[in-house]
Amino acid sequence: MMTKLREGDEQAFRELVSQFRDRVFNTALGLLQHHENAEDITQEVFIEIFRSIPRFRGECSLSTWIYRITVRKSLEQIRRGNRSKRSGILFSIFGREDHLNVPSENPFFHPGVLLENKQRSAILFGAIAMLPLTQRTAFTLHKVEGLSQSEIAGVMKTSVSSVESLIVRAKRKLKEILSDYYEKNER
Amino acid sequence: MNVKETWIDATLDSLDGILPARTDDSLYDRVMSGTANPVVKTNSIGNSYFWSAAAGILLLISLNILFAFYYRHAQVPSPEVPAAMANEYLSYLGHIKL
Repeated sequence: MMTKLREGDEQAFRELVSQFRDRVFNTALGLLQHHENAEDITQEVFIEIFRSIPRFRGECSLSTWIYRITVRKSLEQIRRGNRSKRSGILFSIFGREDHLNVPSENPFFHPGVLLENKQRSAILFGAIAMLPLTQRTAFTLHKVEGLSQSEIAGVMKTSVSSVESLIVRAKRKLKEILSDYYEKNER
Repeated sequence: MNVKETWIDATLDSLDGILPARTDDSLYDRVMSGTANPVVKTNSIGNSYFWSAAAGILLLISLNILFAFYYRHAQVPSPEVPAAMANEYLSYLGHIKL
């Protein structure tokens, strides 16, 4: 299949899209927490795969390579969104963007979450969105995409111990954010 | 474990059993049409940055025009002034010597 892909075989590429589109979309959705943006990123990912696959030398598995592109493009989208938020000077001075305001802001309901967990998961996704990007990536790939720590290490080009540390720190930070949220909203 | 900690743990576990989101065929069609006619996406500069840069350039040009105008119309000392100043200085030196 790789040979055909490098040759630009359309059928091989169709098979690749069929095989990976859900994974790419789910990863983008977990990171971006926005359905339309995740669809846009999914399209961008496969366009890049289409352009770059002749240069892919097999330094990692095909799935790892695709996850890397997906994560990179998703994080670029998040950074673009963060830049436009920071341009609102008044909001940054007077706004409460350092506090979790779910559900008053637009909550994100992942379509794959069990029904009884919908509300709680929306709160959790709000908290995940407040994590530093590396922690957010590691935690999302682990919890939403279900990747193992070694798989995540391959995607993030880091060590397994670093991934473990990122996930531990992410959980600690999430507990702080949720604790703050609980004090303000749930008591 | 108190109520708050129970709530936090339950919230952290709310993604357990999560199923992957599935795409529909419209996204598949969109991806295939996108790769058939790939559009090179460029990062556009935000409007606020553009207008800030334009304002800065305008300010620089205005200052340059202002200084050029001021410089042109500033009083140029007459050739006699330096000579008068030199005579005064020399007479001052003469007083000091004495």
